[in-house]
Parts: sequence; C-alpha cells; structure tokens
Amino acid sequence: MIEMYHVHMSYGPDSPALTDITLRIEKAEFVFITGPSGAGKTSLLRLAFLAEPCQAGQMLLFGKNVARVKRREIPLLRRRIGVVFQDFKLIPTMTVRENVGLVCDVMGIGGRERRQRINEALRMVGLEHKAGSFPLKLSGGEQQRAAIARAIVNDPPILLADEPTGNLDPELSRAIYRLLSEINARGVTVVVATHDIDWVRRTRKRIIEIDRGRVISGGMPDA
Amino acid sequence: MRRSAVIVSRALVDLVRRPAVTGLTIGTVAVVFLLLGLFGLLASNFSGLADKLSSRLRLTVFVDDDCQRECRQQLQQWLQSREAVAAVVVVERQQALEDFRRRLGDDAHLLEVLGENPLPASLQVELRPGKRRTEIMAALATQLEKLAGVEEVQYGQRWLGRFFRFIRVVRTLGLVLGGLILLAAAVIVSNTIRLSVYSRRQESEIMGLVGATPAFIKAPFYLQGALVGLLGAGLGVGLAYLAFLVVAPWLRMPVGLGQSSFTPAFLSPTTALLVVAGGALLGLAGTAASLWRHLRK
Ligand SMILES: Nc1ncnc2c1ncn2[C@@H]1O[C@H](COP(=O)(O)OP(=O)(O)OP(=O)(O)O)[C@@H](O)[C@H]1O
Ligand SMILES: [Mg+2]
Repeated sequence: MIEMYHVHMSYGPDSPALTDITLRIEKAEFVFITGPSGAGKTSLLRLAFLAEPCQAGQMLLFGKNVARVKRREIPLLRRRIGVVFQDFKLIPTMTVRENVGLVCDVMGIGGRERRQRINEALRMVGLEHKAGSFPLKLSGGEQQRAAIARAIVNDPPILLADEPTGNLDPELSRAIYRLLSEINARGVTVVVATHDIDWVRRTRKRIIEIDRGRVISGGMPDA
Repeated sequence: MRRSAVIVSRALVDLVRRPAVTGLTIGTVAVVFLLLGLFGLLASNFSGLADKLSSRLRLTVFVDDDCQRECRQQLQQWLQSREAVAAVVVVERQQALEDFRRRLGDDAHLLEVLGENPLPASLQVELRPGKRRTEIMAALATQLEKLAGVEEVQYGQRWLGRFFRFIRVVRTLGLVLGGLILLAAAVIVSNTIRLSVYSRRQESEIMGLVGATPAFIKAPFYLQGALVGLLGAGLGVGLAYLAFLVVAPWLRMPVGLGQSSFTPAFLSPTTALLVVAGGALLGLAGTAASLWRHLRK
C-alpha cells in the first residue's frame, strides 16, 4: 500500500527531515512508526499522504508511482487516505458532526448516506452524544476520537494516525488502540506514529523505528 | 448535485454572517453602476441626438448658370463615386424657389419683390451615416470647388461640428472615469471576499488535506463575488432606471424643423442584462484578485 525506496525530504536547504528512507507497508497491516521527538515521524506521514513532495527516491501509493501522479489527481488519492493529525485539525467553528461531515461534503456525499456515515463513524469512536458539541468544549480524548471519526467516515483503505494517544492517560490510550485495531480488523491499513516506544513494544505489532530522519529497523515486513 | 449545494450554502453563510460588510459592498457596487448607468444613458442619448442632427448634415453644391445638364451629370457621377456619399439629388432653380417659398410660408409674398428667381441650381449631397463628419465634408468641399461648374459648396453649420467634438470628449472622459470607478469597485469587492477567505483560512487548509480539490475550496468565494457584483449591478441599474423615469420627460425636445423630435431612451433590456452580467464579472475579477493574493497554494 505504501512503499518508499531511498526517499529524501527536507524543509530547507540545510534541514533534511528524512534521509534515505526505505520501507514497505502491506495491505491491511497495522504498523507503528516510532522514534524520539523530532525524528521525522510527522514528516514521514505527511510524505505518505502527499502533503510534502518526495524530493528524491521513489514512492508508491496503492502501487502507483507518486512521481507520475498529476497535481489534480492528488485530492482523489487523499480521499483514500484517512489522517488523524497530531494537532487534530478540527475546525473550531463547526460542531463535531459538521467536522466529520466536511469529508462527506468534499466527496460529494449527501443526504441520507451522509447522515448514516457520520452516525456510524461517531458510533465507532463512541462520540454520538457529543455530535453537537464544538471541538474546544471537548476533552483531549474526545477531540482525539472526533479526529479519528473524521478520518474514517469515508472508509479509506489507509488510516494514518499521528500520536493518537499523545497526552492521554494509559486507560484512554488503550481504548484508542483498541479502536484502531478494530478499524484494522476491517481490512484497513493502519499506520500509527508515536514516541511512546515502551507501550508499543507490548502490542507485538510491526515497529518501524526511525531516528534523525533515518530508518533504524523494521522497514520491511517480516524482516 | 450535493457538492453545488455545499458551495452555495458556504457562499451564502459568509455573506449573511457579515450583513454590514455585505450590504456596504453591494451598496458601493450599486452606486458605481448607478453612476455608470447614468453616464451611459447620457452618452447614448447624446449620440442618438447626434445621429438625428447629423442626418441634417449635408453638402449643398451650388452650380453656376453655365453648368447645364451634361456638366451636372458629370458632377453627379463624380460625387456618386465617392465612398462617403450616399445619395445626390439635383435641385433645379425653379425647385429651389418653390422650397424657399414653402419655408417662408405666410411671408412668401416677399419673394414677389425680387421679380427674377435669384436662387442657383444645386446638388444636395447626402452622406453615409458613418461619414457625416465635418472633416470629411471639408475635404469633399475642397475637391468639389476645383471642379468645373461649381460655384460654391456649403456644408454643416459650425456649431454642429463643435457639438460632435464635445460628444467625443465626453465619451472619452466617460470611458476613463468609468474604468477607474469600475476598478475601485473591483478592489472593494476583492477586500470583502478577502474577509471570507481569511475567516475560512484554516478550514480551507483542512479541506485540502482531506482531499478537496482547489476548485471546490475556491468556488464559494467566486460565487460570493459574483452574487455581490450581480446584486450591486442590478440595484444600480434599477436606480438608474428610476432616475431616468423622473428625468426623461424634461429632456424630450424637438430637433430642427418640427417633423422629427428627440425622445430619450433607457438601455435596452438586453443591454441592461449585459450590464448586470458585467457586475457579476466584476465580482469574479475581485475574487480572483483576492484569491491570487491569499490562497496561492
Ligand atoms: N514545517 C517545518 N519546517 C521546517 N522544519 C520542520 C517542519 N516540520 C518539521 N520540521 C523539522 O523536521 C524534523 C522532523 O520533524 P517531525 O515533525 O517530522 O518530527 P516528529 O518525529 O513528528 O516529532 P514529534 O514526536 O515531536 O512530533 C525536525 O527537525 C523538525 O524541526
Ligand atoms: Mg510529529
């Protein structure tokens, strides 16, 4: 689903964020990307949903060479990748329901199907009772789940989650992890970036370890 | 389609959320189009009047008494081969006298004093509508005066020439001023749209991240611009029409010798619609300017 070969990416001339990244993530896999703060986890995810250009090397998404993807096709590819952002990126002037519905609007899904999808997504993350609330009136964990609901409302084959357990207590973290596993069990490829290495080791999922923009271990499946 | 419904509602929400800004912008556009409309009316009615007057701009070629049939025919042929000339009519001495008598009406008896007919025969030269200009007439006159048999050439009164020059100046001035206030209106619309763009900045970015096309993100702003321009222009043209209804009766005036009178006219419905559409175009241009500066990605 996601393949990178010798990929480089930098934000400026002398600040390389990712160096010689080679990794492969298979369909329906659940993979963790770990590394200390500043290692390049967010950068890697941004690269994966084409928010940053791949400056060198080769990247394949859904088996397609990204270099050959035309600019106007990028939005269409993004619709097949759900993203939970580290800072949630919920729109404060919209209710949870509207935030989740925004993806449906973008996809041109309306009417009854829109309602059903929103309800289903909110039910999965257990946030039906907060549908009418505004993001800033929610707790951190609730915002996190609203962000997940938005990422899965259009059933994307890939889900990228950046620090989805960020500042949550261990109990909530486990709940979020269970939720992500559930989504993965439906055949969705799930990639979770987190600096919480100890917690991740206990899950026995594949771990891609990166540090200072390089892959330390776990880049290939079944190594 | 669902997506267009979303675009429309996003556009309307912004306009309704800031009623004062929206109202002021529409009002400004309306004033601009009112001014343009009034000016356009003035200009088009002036040129209507000018057309009426210019049909009376003809050349009279007086021929001397030696110039009889063959000589006149030659002059006539020469004239008819000119590009500017529409028609040539020969007026015999007798005919000229009759015409003069008719014009004098009750005072016709004065002619008796003269005894002999003092009026020369002439060729009345009618010019093509586009060619009724004093320069053209002057050029034609100089050429004519060199031809055999021509005694004198008279054409268009001096004040008509001045009137046409005045109209041309007014028209040029109007185009320049009109262009300037249109530009000002576009800037104001662009600033209004910028408020919307600014308030939806974060939202636009997020929409892009979840797969919205740039067109889908920008469409509501364009719609807003078009709506504001359309409403403003519509209002402006409407006000111009009201002003026209009030003022028009005062402007009705006779032109020349009674038979044709000049009636001011409003823009034709097609023109009025085109002008309102122009308002929408202005709004779109304002939006484009504002997006170009603020949503470059
Ligand atoms: N927009 C940006 N402009 C310039 N440099 C950036 C930008 N975003 C990240 N970087 C730099 O790129 C490097 C990798 O950052 P990144 O955000 O990918 O790390 P991370 O692993 O996600 O860290 P964290 O765990 O703190 O979220 C860092 O050195 C960071 O300073
Ligand atoms: Mg990060």
